[in-house]
Amino acid sequence: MMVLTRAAAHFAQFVEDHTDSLLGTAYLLTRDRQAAEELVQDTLVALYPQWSRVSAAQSPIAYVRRSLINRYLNQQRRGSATELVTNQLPDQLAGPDFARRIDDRDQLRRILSTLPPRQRAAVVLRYFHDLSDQQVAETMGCRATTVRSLISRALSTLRGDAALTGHDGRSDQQGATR
Amino acid sequence: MTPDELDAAIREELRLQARRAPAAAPVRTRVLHATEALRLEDLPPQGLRAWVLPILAAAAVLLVALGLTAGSQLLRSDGPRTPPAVGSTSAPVSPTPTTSAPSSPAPPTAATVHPSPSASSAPAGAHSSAAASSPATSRPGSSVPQDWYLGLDADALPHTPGLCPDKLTVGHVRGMGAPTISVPGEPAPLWLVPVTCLGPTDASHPAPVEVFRYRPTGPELVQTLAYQPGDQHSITVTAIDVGSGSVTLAEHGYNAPRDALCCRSLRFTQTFSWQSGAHFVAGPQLDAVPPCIGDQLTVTSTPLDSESGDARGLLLRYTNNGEQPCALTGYPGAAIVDATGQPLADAARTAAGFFGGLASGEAPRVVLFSSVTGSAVIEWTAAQYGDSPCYTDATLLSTPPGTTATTSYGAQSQVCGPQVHPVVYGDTGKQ
Repeated sequence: MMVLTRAAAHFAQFVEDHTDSLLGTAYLLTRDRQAAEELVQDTLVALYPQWSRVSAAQSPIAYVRRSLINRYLNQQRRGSATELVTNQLPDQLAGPDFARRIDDRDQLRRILSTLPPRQRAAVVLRYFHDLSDQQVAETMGCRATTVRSLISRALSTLRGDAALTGHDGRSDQQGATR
Repeated sequence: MTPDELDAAIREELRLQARRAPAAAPVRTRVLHATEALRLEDLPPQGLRAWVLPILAAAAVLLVALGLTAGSQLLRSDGPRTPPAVGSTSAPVSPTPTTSAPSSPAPPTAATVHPSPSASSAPAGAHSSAAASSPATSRPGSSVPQDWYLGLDADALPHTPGLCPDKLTVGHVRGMGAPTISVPGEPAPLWLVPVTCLGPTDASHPAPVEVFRYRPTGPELVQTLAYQPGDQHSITVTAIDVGSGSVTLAEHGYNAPRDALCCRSLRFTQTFSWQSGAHFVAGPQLDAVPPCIGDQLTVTSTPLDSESGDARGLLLRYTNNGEQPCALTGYPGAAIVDATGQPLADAARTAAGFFGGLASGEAPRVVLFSSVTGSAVIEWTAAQYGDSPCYTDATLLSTPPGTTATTSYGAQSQVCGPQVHPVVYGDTGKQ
């Protein structure tokens, strides 16, 4: 009984400490406040029955974040009704003057919002949580090369560089140094 | 834009976006509330990894101890005799059993009550000493801080979701000074906190008694224990009697600076029970209180007359004569019949008139606890004004809302423009 009580107490402390961070991640993924709240709530409540396993993990926050990302990607695969529909195609933003326009915060925000779910998740984990390729791969349940590919394509969209010129190598170097 | 500039722009943009993330506090509350419903027994035992290391460590210590003992025996039997080292941990085995420690007292099987501090403005030290003496808060291994209830104050609690019913705002929270009860299975005493909710009118809103329990994240609203009709002034629960598995709240008065009309007839006594463990079975929720039925109510009436004599009426008082609470909502039935009992007209339903009715808003749902009274007014004029209809030798019939118990109130020489107003809390017929 004391074991169970400890797990429950650890859960409560975890919720106290990490809900902010999880909501940040969820909001960046979903771009919707209500969807973000539901994503965090559903993730934590679903993990509660197995919390002793979570608390025994090397990094409980990484464990929970991975669960949250998986839940988000599964929702997107099922065609979530919360997916935003836009008539602004990324291709329309590519062009020689894109470097100027990306200085505009609104443009960057809009392009970020058009990224496919897996690319978006990889970008959030890399740039918001500052994780290495390997850590992003572990969180997303894929290989590091896949992560590099996802981020390259995302950056390609953001830079309007369909040829991915010179970007893969830089991404690989980053992943190796982290 | 260089790659580094793009990286920095992305990071900055994500940071800015993350600032618009929802607030954590409501999510924390909902998550903890949702998981609270899952019994702890549903949790599987800790994984293998959590047990293997302690078991292996204990086995290693045992083996080392056995090895040391065996080595010591070998030295004693085969080697030269040496005096035992000072501070050696190998104590001789006693042939007689050691005296066992006195057994700890059995855990309480029924809730115990902690006396409430006399006033909510008492110094914090008084509360600390009260909590420190609580067996629940001093339980070995408990992680409950002894002064956790200091969070029960007007600054923190008003932000608790669900503290007041919909469309009502939190007006006053007593917090410290509220009575507490200890419930088996709860790591800390539960606090029974009377809360004043403010509604669109001053006197028609319920004042719930909320039950809070300790959570590391702050006081958690367990549920609403009961609602009392109240006004905007604080209502004090002044007595708690705890029996075997039940607690009785008794409301004897309130701290209103004036004699609030809504509460003059208040006689609030309600008993609640709980099962073992953390499952607190609360009393009826406001929304779950059933409508009053005819024989549950005692109806009395008082004639009303204006000084000029033009305006007349009846003040109808509905008192719950049962033990269970019931609710009255809306307008009493009010009809005018002739001497033969043939209906002439129904009184017009109006929110307020000369003698009573609502101050504003819609008709309240008036929850009548045992012996609590609600009231309504039927009024008319003795002379015709404008084109209001008049009825001579008319008899008034009235039925409490939602019931079929009709009462006749005698013949009136002339009734013009009869109106009926909604049931309100209290015995004056007006808010």
